[in-house]
Amino acid sequence: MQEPSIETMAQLGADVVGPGSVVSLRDVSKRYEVGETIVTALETFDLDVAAGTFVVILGPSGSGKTTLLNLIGALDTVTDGTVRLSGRDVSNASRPERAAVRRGTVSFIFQTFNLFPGLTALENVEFGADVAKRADATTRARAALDEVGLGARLDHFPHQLSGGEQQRVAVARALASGNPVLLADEPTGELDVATGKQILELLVAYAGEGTTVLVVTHNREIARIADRVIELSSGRIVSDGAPVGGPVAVADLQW
Amino acid sequence: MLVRWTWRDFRRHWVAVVVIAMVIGIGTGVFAGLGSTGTWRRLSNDASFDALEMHDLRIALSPGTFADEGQLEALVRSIEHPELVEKTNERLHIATQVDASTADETIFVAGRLVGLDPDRGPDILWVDEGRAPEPDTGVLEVKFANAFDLPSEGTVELAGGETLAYHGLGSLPTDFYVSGERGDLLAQFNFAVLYTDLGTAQRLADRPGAVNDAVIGLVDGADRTAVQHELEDVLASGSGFSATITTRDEDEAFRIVYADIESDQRFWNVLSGLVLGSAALAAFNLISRVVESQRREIGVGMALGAPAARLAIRPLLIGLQTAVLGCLIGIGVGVLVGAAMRSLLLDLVPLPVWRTPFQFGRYAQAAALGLIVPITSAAVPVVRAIRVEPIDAIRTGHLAARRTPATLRRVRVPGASLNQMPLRNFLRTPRRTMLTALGVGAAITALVAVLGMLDSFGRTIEIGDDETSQEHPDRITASLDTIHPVDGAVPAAVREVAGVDHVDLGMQFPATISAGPDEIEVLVEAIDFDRARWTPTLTSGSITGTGNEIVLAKDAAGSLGVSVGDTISVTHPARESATAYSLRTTEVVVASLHPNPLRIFAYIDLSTADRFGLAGLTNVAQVFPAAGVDRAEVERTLFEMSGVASAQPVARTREVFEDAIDQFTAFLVITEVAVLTLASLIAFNSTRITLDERTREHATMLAFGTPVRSVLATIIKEGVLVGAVATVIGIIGGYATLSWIINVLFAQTLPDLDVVTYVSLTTLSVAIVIGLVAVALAPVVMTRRLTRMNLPDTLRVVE
Ligand SMILES: Nc1ncnc2c1ncn2[C@@H]1O[C@H](COP(=O)(O)OP(=O)(O)OP(=O)(O)O)[C@@H](O)[C@H]1O
Ligand SMILES: [Mg+2]
Repeated sequence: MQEPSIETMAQLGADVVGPGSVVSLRDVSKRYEVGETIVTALETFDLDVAAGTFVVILGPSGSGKTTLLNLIGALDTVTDGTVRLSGRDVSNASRPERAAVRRGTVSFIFQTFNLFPGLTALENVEFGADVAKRADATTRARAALDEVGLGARLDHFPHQLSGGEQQRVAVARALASGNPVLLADEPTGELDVATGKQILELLVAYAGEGTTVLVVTHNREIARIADRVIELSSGRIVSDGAPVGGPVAVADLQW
Repeated sequence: MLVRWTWRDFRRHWVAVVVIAMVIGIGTGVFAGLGSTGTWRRLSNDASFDALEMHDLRIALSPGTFADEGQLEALVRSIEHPELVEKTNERLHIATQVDASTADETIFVAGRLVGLDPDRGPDILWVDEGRAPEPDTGVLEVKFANAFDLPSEGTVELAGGETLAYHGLGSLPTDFYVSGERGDLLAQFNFAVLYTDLGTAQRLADRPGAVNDAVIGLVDGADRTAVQHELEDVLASGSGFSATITTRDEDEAFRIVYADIESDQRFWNVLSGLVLGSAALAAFNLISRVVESQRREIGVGMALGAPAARLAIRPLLIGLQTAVLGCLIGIGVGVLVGAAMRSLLLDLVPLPVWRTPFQFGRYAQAAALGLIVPITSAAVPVVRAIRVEPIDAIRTGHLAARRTPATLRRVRVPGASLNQMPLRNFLRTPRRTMLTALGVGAAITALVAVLGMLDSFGRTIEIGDDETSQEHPDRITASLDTIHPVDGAVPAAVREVAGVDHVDLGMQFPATISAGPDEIEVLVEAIDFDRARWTPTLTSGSITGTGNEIVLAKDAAGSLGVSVGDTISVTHPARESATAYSLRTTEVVVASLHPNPLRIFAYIDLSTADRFGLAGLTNVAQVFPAAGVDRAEVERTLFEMSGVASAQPVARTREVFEDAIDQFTAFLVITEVAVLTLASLIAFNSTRITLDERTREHATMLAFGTPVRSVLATIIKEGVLVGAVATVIGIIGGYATLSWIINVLFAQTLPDLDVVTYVSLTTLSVAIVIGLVAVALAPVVMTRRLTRMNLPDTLRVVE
């Protein structure tokens, strides 16, 4: 089975969408059928995200944040509509195609970490670089762990780390991949203020270097540092735009 | 709510539950099915002996002496309490030779002609196929006929050239087990009994009106030994007859068929125990792994303060479901195995009456085990989860990992992070990994033991065949009717037979060898070691001609606890005068050993024969046909000569061996099927559970875009690691079990046969295929689970 290469696919879609739009959703709906009931997680959704943007997605529990992230990350398929990632239509692409897109385009920071229990912190992070086919995986992994402040815990296994430390390993894993789109579901959920800020600084810095960062959170305070804040309710966008007064520095946040 | 929750548990785990239930079912079913045969055979023998009115007492006149019809009956009536005797049946037993050759095969064997009243008991003649004897026609003993696949109607030639047509196959109860002077193993094959009516036998034997044997049926409740003594009294008080009187319990056939059941059953018990044991171990492992996945929930429940008993119910219900289903499958498998064993028994052991009732007791035992194992297996992890601090139960990984030394856990293999995973996962939870390997290993143990047994039998036959054939597979052993001087007319005539290239004369005699308290029966052959074309292979030591040397089978020496150079006593016949022989005991040195697995064979050289008082005598001729001559032709000529009792090609040894272990082989094949299924099921399910346990990790890899085949590769590699450990455990365990069965169990079940412990390459390959390939490749079958995995849902769930 030949996996389609990223480059080709990106080129194929390049003329359809403007070069700045890394993520593009058109008329996207996502519905779940559970027995008789139909749960609508997202409803006729439109979204374009330019490269290098730091986006914060807000919304009450069950409003469809994770669902949105999964669609953007080509983890899931839509019920209706089109999802383009780096110009490539992934809305109904085959599994191997979507896997190939993810490999070279997105990195996940999951709400539940999902570290590999058998691998050390360093190896978990290396994994991120390995799948994205980065040549200097170990070096990148060390650097990423340094950046999240775990440079001294390289050889520790996930069960030897606290929840927050595990979260930071998950962040490092995503950073080490060097992929252009970073999707984070509650990346600061388990962290204290200081560490949380440290992680946010990192994400902001990466966005500054051109990485598109989408962060899902319940924490309105975090929205203040975003280039763009999207608020969801019942699967629809209720507000979209720069935070009031423009983005502030991470250091100014308090929660 | 509990019901719904349990139903959901079942839906989630049903494949595991069904497969584990099948494992338990096969284990208990084999246990119940194999365990029934002993009782069946005992019941059937009882019923058969009853139906054929097995005698209470038997009078056998001394060889060569006869009575007139009616004389023995009169003798019986003259005892002190004749009212104890219900009936007496007089018969004529005549030693003869039988030519039962067919178009394809020459069959010349020693035999016995029995004249009797076919309609009367005690010892009624059972006719299995065809008709009872009529004047001038007979019935052929059924086991002999079966051994050579003889039809139920035919003609045989008896000593003296008389032909006798037979129209049926059958047996007397006293011939349910046929033993001859050459040892139990060979007798069934080399000895033909023919039953005719009394008149026909008397005519064929040229003994009109004569009988030499009587069987007696006593009234109910009569004391056999008391009547035996009364009979001995009248015999001794001037009856003019010399006879031996034996009770039913002293009858060899009667004794051996029951003893056989005991030792055979012990063998089946060990085997079914092995299958059941490995099934139980595997079931334990599999269920605890399924239940282990609920440990976290138990921890959460405990943390929330739920009572332990309530938390334990759900996992225990999984155990109970498995138990109940396992028992049902077990009964099914048991009935199947039982039916297969039954039809094999009916085929292999000819008996007039078969009683094969359903063995409730045995099935109840099996069912009890089938219930206990899964419930215990479910209970153990539950108890462990409840006993630990809830916080540790939630963090299961933490607990499990503490057991491996940190350095070992960090072992790095070359390659990227993905490459590290198989070994890491393997080392991360060593206890669980070892349990898994043990579960699969136990199944492979049973597999290697069962297949190894077939291998060992095959190898033993080959060794025996090689030794008896050597470079002369055409050799014919011609037994002479009696002992002749080596320069006598009969040996000379044998040498003159057309188509014969060479003849070696030997002297064969039964003897008892002993060292200390141990003694065994052997058949000694005196051979000219310098000149004979066939001599036993000497595996150690040599014959030097000192006149006190004997060559024993390796196994015989082992049984006596002697080795080369040791001295043993031989009690043997020695010639007193031209016609009279007496028993004498001579001390000899074990000069060498030979590799024949039949321990009955022993050899002495001519100088030792001289010391035994047997010099210059012969009763057996080893005949080597010339190249290009039809062996059957030579056999026929030899057999038809006067002075030759039987002519057997040594090539037939192989068939004799095969026949001896036929029963085991056939039954083992049934077990083999069960064990193969068992091992495959365990391997498969083990992999399935591993996949379940790692679902989340696999989902994460896939989410990052790792191709399915790379994920599959890590799973396979981990499978190979576990499979390799399991295979090593299985092969070592299987070999150990096999050698125990052969060296301890067979030493009792088949004392005459020295079965070698041997595991063939094929068996090893099967073990490796099951252990390594099946465990490692099972995930490939389950690729769908990876390609169809719902990533968002799998990743969402907090385990
Ligand atoms: N597999 C599924 N089947 C049925 N409904 C689902 C499924 N996955 C999500 N949903 C529903 O879709 C809606 C959106 O879910 P989603 O996980 O996106 O919410 P969320 O905004 O991330 O919430 P939270 O902040 O609690 O994580 C919810 O109502 C949820 O119940
Ligand atoms: Mg969510």
